Amino acid sequence: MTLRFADKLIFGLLGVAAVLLGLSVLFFAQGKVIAFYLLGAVMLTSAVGVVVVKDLIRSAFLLALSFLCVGGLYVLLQADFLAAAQILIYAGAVAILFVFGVMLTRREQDPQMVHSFEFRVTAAVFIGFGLLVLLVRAIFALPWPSHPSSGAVANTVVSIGEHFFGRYILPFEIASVVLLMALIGAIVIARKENHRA
Amino acid sequence: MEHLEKIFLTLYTMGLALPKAILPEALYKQLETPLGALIGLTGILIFAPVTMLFLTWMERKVVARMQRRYGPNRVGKFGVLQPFADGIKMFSKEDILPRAVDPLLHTLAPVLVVVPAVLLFTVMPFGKEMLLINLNVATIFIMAISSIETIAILMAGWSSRNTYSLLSALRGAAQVVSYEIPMGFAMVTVIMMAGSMSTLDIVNAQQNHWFIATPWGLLGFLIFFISGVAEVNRAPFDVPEAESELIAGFHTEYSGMKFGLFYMAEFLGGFAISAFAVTFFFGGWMGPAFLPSWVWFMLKTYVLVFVLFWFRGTLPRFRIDHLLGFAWKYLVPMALLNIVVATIWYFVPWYIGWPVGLALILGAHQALTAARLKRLYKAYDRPRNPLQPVVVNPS
Repeated sequence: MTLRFADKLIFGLLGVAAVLLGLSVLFFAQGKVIAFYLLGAVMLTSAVGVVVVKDLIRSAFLLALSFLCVGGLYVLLQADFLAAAQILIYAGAVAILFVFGVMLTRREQDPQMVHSFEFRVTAAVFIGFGLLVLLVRAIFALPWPSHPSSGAVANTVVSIGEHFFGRYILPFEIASVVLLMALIGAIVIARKENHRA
Repeated sequence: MEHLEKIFLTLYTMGLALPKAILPEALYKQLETPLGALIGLTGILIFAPVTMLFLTWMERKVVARMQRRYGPNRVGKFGVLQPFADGIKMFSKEDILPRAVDPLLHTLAPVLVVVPAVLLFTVMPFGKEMLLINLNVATIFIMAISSIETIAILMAGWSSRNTYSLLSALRGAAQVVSYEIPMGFAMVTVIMMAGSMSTLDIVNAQQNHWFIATPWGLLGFLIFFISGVAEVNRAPFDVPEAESELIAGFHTEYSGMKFGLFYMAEFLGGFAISAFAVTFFFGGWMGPAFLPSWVWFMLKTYVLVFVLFWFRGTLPRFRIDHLLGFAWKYLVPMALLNIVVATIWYFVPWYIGWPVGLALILGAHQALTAARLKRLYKAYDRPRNPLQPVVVNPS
């Protein structure tokens, strides 16, 4: 069995995108703009693919690709710590756990659905519409600078750390408590079955 | 000596001299940085496969000597040309794509597995002024890049449509996700003491004394190296490709150069782990001035690479549950304790720091292993009177 036409197409497009990305960032004055649109296009395409593709595993890998592209966007914004954390946590851990879960729970027939098809469609429409309204409002409420500020922070790690342990100490601590609760909860759920009642 | 130290810098300048001669002045000014980056990348893209070729030969030779064999000795003197023969063989083999596989993912996986392994070399400080990118988040970059390899392993295992491959991929993913955590914590101590995440700053912070010569550095190095060996799936942590159980693991269904790429990723990963252990704990390219800095770096790295092969020749393979238990029940608590030890070391003079640090480390080790050791010794207990029937504990 050789590669299907669609596969070849995807390969070619990905390769061309990667080469263009490298060349544009390295050689062109407007390279960042080109890189932004390339990353955005790949990210949106793969995000649509996550929903459209029938194969669950493939859509999980597409999700990883879109996470990687978000990391690339962070690099373009000179948020290097955020980019590395994004790739480490989302592409490296979350996507892998998705693939893991799908592989371990895959069944040939559909599992029993808790809710009816109509209910799920209605819920999806409402949630999607609500999210869209929120995002659009946020986009219009934000004062967009007409020209990007040139004052890039040299060492983002230091300022992120200072903010975490200075002004935003409370949200930071609350987030860590929530994470700890999730950790303990996961252990409790996982241990349940060989508990001697 | 001076020109030996600067030999790669000279090569770099010579590489830039050609475009400077050809291109007009204005265009050259604009293109100088990207061209320099391209030359550095080219150097790495040459260095990585050459390292891989040398490491394959070295591993076969070292392991063979440990098993009282000769190893490769037919092609060239001491078999040094063996890797080239292997390479020619791999390139001339038929590229088989089994009928059942998912062709896209099956072809993408070997590419994805090599790219991160090569990318790691970009933040590796090979010597004085021999660092391609002085990234200020280098340590996190290392972890992020090496975690991408898991995706490739899962891709290879799943797209092969082979139960053995799938099992191996699941094992590999579980292993890498677990061992990433102690590895990250071991790096945290280094970041704390160096005050920076950049590999260059970490090496410079070890100007006066290497980090290995402190209690937290010793423990941190052990944790880092052990989890690193597990992360690149090398013996004794090579359960994803355990030959006796899973044929060849996730690369069972690969042939020709695609298989070669998996092989390459494994060796480059092993080299990178050794090189970063040297960078973080053994002072990187620091050393007495009678040898150039890059020779010091390579020497230290190859000592650790030899230790990797030594592991392979000596230790039996872990069982998968032992392996995961070791990461979560021993390495993670020890790595967390190591942060405390490093903090104490920072605030007290060395003659208090050493005893307190060692006491904490040994105490924690005893506490974490006491139950296991007790069970082990119990298993070896002999009954006092051999004539009396032995009561076998059902558990």
